[in-house]
Amino acid sequence: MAIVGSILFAFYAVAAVVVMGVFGFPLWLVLLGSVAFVGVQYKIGKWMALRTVGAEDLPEDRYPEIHRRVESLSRSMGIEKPRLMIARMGVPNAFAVGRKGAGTVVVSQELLSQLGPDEVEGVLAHELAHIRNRDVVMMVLGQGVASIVAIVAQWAVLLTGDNDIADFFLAIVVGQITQMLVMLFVFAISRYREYVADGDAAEAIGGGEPLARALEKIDRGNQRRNESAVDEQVNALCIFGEERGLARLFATHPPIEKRVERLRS
Amino acid sequence: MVDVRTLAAAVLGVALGLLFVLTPETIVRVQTAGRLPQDRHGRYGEDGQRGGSGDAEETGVDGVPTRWRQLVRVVGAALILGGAYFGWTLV
Repeated sequence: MAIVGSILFAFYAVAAVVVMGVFGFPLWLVLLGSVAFVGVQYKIGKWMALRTVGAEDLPEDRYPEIHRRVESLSRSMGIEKPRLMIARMGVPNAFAVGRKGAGTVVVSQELLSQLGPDEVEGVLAHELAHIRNRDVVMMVLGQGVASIVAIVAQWAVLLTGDNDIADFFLAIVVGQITQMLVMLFVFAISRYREYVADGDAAEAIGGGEPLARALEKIDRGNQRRNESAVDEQVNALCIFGEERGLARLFATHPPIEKRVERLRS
Repeated sequence: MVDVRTLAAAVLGVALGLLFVLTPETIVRVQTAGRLPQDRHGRYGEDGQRGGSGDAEETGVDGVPTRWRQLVRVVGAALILGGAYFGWTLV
């Protein structure tokens, strides 16, 4: 993982050097601009995530047990209790936004209705681990680096060409391809961080079985769904689907079977 | 003599366009990862690659909103057309 992180930093370093060389910006300005760029992405991302799912505060009087469990987990994991929110997402789901000290965990109503209390605790512990490990910030940082490198690549194409229409087109294409290449490394880190969060959650709740069961339960629901009317569409997508190369390389999560296996090992 | 940059625009444009058209969910993930929580769509613990949501009209079978996928496919088609145009100018 250190190697992947170093490669990511190297991408950023090359982009920063190019910006400093071509535009003559001092190092402090490049660093300040990068931090501002990532900071704006972080703020907008958090706001949009909560807004687009229509998340509302999880009422403590209706869900006292969840609040109590999160409080206890937060204490044992050494973080402040995050804000708890609930949303209707149509599927059992949960995600964390924000950072250590200012985190928010959103759970879907479907997750609470389909999972048992200990399974919900496993899911919550996993999300709290993401906040404690600053995984959300890491992803924002990774996307920030990918975007910066892509913008620099675009400018490199533009500044070395004749400024005709083919150059503009090539710059856009090269920018996109560059961003995808850098994101390959970010996704590799993300998959690794999922395993780490699973391990931390298992440690916090005293075993990986509840989270493994939660993942299996959700996965079984998916398999039943896939056997229904949408099966044909899913199969069509399987050309690049979950088990095949490209989608797997760009996956943020490792396969559920592997996570369950590790949680139980 | 063939202009290398125009040739690159043609080849890379068509290749990227095909990727946009064939795997819009991957493109959406690349663009939204870190900007929006990656877990926001699809089911818990997954990438929205399988299963998707209960509302197939709104989110499609891969958990990515259908509208987003269509938009990515339109951009992909534009890239293919653009690439094809630059290829045609080389002939």
